[in-house]
Amino acid sequence: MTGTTITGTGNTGGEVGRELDVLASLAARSDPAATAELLRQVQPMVVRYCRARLGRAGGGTYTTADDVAQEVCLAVLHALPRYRDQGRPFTAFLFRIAANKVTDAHRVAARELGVPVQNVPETAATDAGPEGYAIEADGSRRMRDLLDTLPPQHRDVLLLRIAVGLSAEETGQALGMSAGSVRVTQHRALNRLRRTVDPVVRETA
Amino acid sequence: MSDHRIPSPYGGPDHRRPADPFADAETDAGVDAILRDDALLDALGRGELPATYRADVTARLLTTWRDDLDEGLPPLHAAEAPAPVLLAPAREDDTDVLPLFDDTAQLPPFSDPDRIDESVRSAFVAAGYARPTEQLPPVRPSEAATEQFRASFDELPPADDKPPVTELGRRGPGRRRRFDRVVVATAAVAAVLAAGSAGSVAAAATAHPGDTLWPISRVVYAERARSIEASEDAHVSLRKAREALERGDTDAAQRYYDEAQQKLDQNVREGSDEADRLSQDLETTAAIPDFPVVPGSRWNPSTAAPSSSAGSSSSSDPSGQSKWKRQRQREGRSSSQASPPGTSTVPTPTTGGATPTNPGPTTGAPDPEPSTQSPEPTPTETKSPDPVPTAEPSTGGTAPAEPGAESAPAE
Repeated sequence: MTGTTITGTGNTGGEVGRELDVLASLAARSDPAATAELLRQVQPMVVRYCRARLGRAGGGTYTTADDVAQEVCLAVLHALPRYRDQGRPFTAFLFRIAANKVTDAHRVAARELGVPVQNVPETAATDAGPEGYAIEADGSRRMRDLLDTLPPQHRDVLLLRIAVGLSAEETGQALGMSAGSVRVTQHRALNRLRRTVDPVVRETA
Repeated sequence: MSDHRIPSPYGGPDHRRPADPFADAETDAGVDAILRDDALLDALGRGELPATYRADVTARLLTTWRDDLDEGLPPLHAAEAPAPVLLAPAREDDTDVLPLFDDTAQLPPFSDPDRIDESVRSAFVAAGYARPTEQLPPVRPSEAATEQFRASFDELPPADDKPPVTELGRRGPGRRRRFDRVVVATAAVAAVLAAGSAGSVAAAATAHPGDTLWPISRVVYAERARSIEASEDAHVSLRKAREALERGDTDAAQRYYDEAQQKLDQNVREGSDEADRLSQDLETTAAIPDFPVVPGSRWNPSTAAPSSSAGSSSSSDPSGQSKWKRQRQREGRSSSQASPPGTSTVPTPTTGGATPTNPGPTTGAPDPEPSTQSPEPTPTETKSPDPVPTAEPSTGGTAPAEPGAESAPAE
């Protein structure tokens, strides 16, 4: 198994993906152990995906993103009985749900503009303070803004590759692309980022 | 957050620098750049920033971003920590352990990084992203790579701070392959690490035969599965040994016991749970009073000789591990046997010598039988082949029943 999968550069061979497929089809037949294991494996990926998509929305913490991630996990759990191994990898199923939930969260955030109250409620800040926070978050926020300038497909590829840590093959499975086109897309996306980061300084490897 | 700024026009700068390796992904030079970026993203996906990319602002920003995402989360690959632990039993002296690893060791990533390079490249060629290698202009990629490194070198303020970079920058085109090899080797190591750890197959790692995840476990943790299966076989052998003992067939019992012992020594992983359980089972079986096995019997000389030398010889011996184990079991068995036979060896000379055909006393019946065989083989050799079978028909109901009654709680 490992012998045949580890043949390419950076190829984890979709081993995670295939294992998830096995677990998912077991879980779809309501096998409790497989379901638990599936969620355990899927959860960190979902949390990272949601954090990457939503950032530190409102209040400078990842609370919102983590809440959405939890919703995604719940939604996956609910959708599992409907999951059938139709040749489509489970990661594709998973990240489609995640993407929909993130879109929902964006909509909700756009809709709820505020609730009028008579007095401004005061809350205690438990953070490290604005300065430290700003310093800490600056780089990542800048990156997030940059990622938002990318076309959605480019952004998703980078997100799955870097934030979720999938291999090119797995990313391809999740997004319905070939591994080759993932590699090309990520390369173009990186180049765009490089140009945007510093159009004057020549891109370096 | 969700506002989409229009991306800066793509290609504007490209036309100014057609020689730029990043200029257009569809040019030939792009293949190398694509592969480098792929390796970079693999590293970033693991939360690492390769040293060569320190000067790349974008790579640095991406690392910061990724680190920020991990806030308050366990590292993504820590969840896969069980995998390395599982692989830990691979010691130098366990040559036959982990064929899984042997497979991996024979893989191209380690033996020949260049082949990987070509295989990925050919995938690109097949996908239409690149021309075949032979159609590539031979000099360009290396020039591009060199140029790139010069560029990165130019960016670094003090040249002496980054000797590897400057060295690479100064190197001629011939060095490019070496660089590729480094990248590919890094990527290959990354791939193996990811595949080994990517598992997060933690549930399968604890699966047992009959569990749902057992098939997964058998494939992913082949070594462990083999060990567990061997230990279960050995348990079956031991059960057969005990059954044979109840029938009075000491030879068969001995044979089954040896079989189990051999499985433990050869096929069961050191220090694993199943090894502990199995050696415990071996000890309980050997502790059954009638059990014929004694430290001097025929299966022991092979183990007794090395174990006596094991005390003096160091662990440099390849089989030092199993020797230690055998010795431990031997000690455990002899100690566990020492107490019940210790009581039975005393009556042996009196009962066995004086009244061999006298199993009549109800208290003496279970004792003389094992004692005639176990402690002193030579004196009983004359009568043991016959008296036991003859004694059994005479005592008929009692003798076979009693060992059975005794071995039942032992199980």
